[in-house]
Amino acid sequence: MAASQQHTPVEEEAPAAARPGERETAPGPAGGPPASTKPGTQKPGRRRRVETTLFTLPAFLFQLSWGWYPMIMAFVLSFTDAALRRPVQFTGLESYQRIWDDPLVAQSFRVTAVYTVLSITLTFFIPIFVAILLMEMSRRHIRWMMLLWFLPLSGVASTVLFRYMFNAQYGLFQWVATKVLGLPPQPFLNSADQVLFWLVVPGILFFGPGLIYMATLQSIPASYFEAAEIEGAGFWRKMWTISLPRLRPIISMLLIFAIIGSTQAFEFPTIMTGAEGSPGGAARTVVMYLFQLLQQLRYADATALGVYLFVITMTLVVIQRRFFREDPDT
Amino acid sequence: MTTRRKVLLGLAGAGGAAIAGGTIYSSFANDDEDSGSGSDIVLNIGGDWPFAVPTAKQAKADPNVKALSEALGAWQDDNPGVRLKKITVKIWEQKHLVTAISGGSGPAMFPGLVVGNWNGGATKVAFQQGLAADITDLVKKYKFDDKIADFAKPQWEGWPVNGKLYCMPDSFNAGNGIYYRRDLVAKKGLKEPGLGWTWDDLRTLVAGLTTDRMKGAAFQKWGMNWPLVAQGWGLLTRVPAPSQKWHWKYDYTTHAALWTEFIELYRGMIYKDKSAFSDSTLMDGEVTAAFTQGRAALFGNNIGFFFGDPDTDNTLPNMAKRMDKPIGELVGFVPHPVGKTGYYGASSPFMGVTSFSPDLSEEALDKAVSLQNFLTYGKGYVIRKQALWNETKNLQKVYTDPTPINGMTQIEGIKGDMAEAWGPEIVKAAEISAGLSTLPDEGAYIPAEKDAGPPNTPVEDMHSHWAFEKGKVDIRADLKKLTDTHNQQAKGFTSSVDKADFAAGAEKYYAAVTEFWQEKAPDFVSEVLEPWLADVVKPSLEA
Repeated sequence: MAASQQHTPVEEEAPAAARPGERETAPGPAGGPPASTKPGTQKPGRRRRVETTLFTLPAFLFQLSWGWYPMIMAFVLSFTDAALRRPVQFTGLESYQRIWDDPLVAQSFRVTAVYTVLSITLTFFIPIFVAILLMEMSRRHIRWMMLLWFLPLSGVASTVLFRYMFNAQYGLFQWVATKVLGLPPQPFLNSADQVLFWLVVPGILFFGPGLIYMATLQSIPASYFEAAEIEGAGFWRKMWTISLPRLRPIISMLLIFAIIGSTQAFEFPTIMTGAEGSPGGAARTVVMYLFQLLQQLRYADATALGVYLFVITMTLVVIQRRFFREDPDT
Repeated sequence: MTTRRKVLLGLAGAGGAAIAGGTIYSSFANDDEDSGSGSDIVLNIGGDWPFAVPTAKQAKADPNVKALSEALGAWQDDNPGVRLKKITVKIWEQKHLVTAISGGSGPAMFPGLVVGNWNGGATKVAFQQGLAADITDLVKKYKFDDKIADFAKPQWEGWPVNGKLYCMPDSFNAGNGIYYRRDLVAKKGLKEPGLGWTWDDLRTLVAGLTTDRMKGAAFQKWGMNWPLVAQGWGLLTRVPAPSQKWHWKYDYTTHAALWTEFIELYRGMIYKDKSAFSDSTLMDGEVTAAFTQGRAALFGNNIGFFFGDPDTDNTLPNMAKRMDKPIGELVGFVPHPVGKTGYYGASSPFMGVTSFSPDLSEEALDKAVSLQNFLTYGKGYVIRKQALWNETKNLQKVYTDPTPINGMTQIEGIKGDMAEAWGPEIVKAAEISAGLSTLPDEGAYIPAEKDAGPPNTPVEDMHSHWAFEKGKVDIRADLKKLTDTHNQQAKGFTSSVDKADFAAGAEKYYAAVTEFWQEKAPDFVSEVLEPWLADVVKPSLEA
């Protein structure tokens, strides 16, 4: 207790010195000797270790209970028959083999791949360009455009609304297609060839991650653009040499989220096309099929499919991390 | 100055306060939703099913709750020491219910079919996995199977799972059929549909009802299923194959000509005649709304849609009220059209069942079964209806089910019956529908599997492809692809049933099927069933 009281002022008066790397030489407590002359070489005190542990413990326990433990258990379950209330039996790779041989699994991966490519192409890259264009407008226009684009919308409510708008019999889009544009009646979600495209379209209107791009663009010093303009740089040159490189770290991070999100697409296609991803399973993603397996009480097969999806997603993320440079100055 | 220590202390304080507050709150919560006190047995009632545990305040305000309260009071008088406790569980969502039961926190009773996602076969698999209590002995004790109405008894015969019972019948639906605008049929001088009408008759009727502003029919996204099931799809597309690892194989090509004819008929109504519409987003609600709003003159569903709330939009009674006509004169109901040779399958009646928690003690399980028996077949049902009558004097509030599982269509002390409540036309339609003999259930002959086997997903995919692909479709190629896909899936499964037992059960099942259809549709037997049994099933069973 006494030791604790003695150390208290140290923490209160020089908290910044505790972060190695921020200063080459930090002053010691109460005018004492420097805490360290080299970053990273300071040996933390016992209290700091306890505090660090206490700070970390809740997050660690939470992640362990709700993240790692279920993931490990799912992996273990995939090698059993995953019976619910009878003794579980080890079945080896049986579930993996069954899932591998299932033609509908291959179909669902194809659907997910197309959906991911379409989704990232249309709802990830377009907002980058739109955000840069918006920044070229006057401040008044920027405010209006941001207000229109970034209205907080309920995802599920909007999705249900879009489902009705896509209705081939009496939907708003059909009215636009036939009465306004004079086209023949369109199948929209009823066509296996078109359904994935129409599923992605609302994402364009929601503007995806545009707000984050705009926030990043606004943080770029105006002097960069002014200097470029003095040098005679036009819109494309400024975009290519200033805006895009400065956005690169954000693009990199959001791309990972977009890949993970698209490969795990479930709610939106389910609400729009039903649990079966009709017509003909053309909109049934991997996670939708996984959910069907759960409904059939095939827990081992569902976890095996989950493991396949995890491996593929992880591979994509690793490739992205390997080839996408984040530092704008490299 | 805020230090890490202060933050830690603050967090610890906030956490401690939350825990203490939560403890105090939970000690007071739900007291008003319990029934009984000082009890030895607690029955958890989840998701307000089969009833919402009533409070005194609710009973005062709502005649329905008051009636239930009276019935429960009568049961608790005979069963002192039992407390009914409301718990929160999403009882109609399979994943929530299965999770709750698996974790030992499920309700005392629940709708049995939910654990199998409304699929009878999957439900029996769930029962075998231990998701419901075995109530075989309690069925004998309470003898409720003797009290099931005659029209529902054949359905009950399919529910034993390898000799054991895991559920109690709680409701009976007279089956699916077609609702049509009776007034428009008469106005246009069209022939009114009746029992035994065909899909060609339906196509003619739908075309005759179509106008510039109203389509002849609206079909749910699964509408393609109906004309095919009416021809024997399901029975004729699965072949017993005890020599295979999974004892069934799939064959959609043997009767390809038959399937092609009716797929083209359905597509013809939508794309050629333009007399019907369907969409991959159309569910029950949308189709019913199209009918009640005058956008479609015909739709398909179960007979329960007659008995909606007159004050709720898009219900049939509301439509009748709006148009100021008796519902029986405005809307007709008829079982689905039959197949070419007289087979019917799409109208088959449907039974709801109650299952019980596998974690209940022997005594608690007895009480739970006793309570559901009391409310479904016993005095509780009568007390509830009589109390409701005394409170409302409204027959439509009292008689809400045209085919009650207990057969009570007239109750002592209530002036009037089902026909008086809803009109003779509707009651007659329900009787006709309920009177259709239930098809033999393979579960009564072939031992149940421990795993559900390959799902029906490839079939649903192909149905939606045929229904919604506007351009040309190669049906024969699709049927071949469907056969290959389904058989490829089947290869991954292993039957838990002994090969010889399966073969013996299958032989008995097909003998029962032949006998049944010999009486109902002899043309189907001679032209379709017998040749198929001889050429396809027999060689496969003997292989």
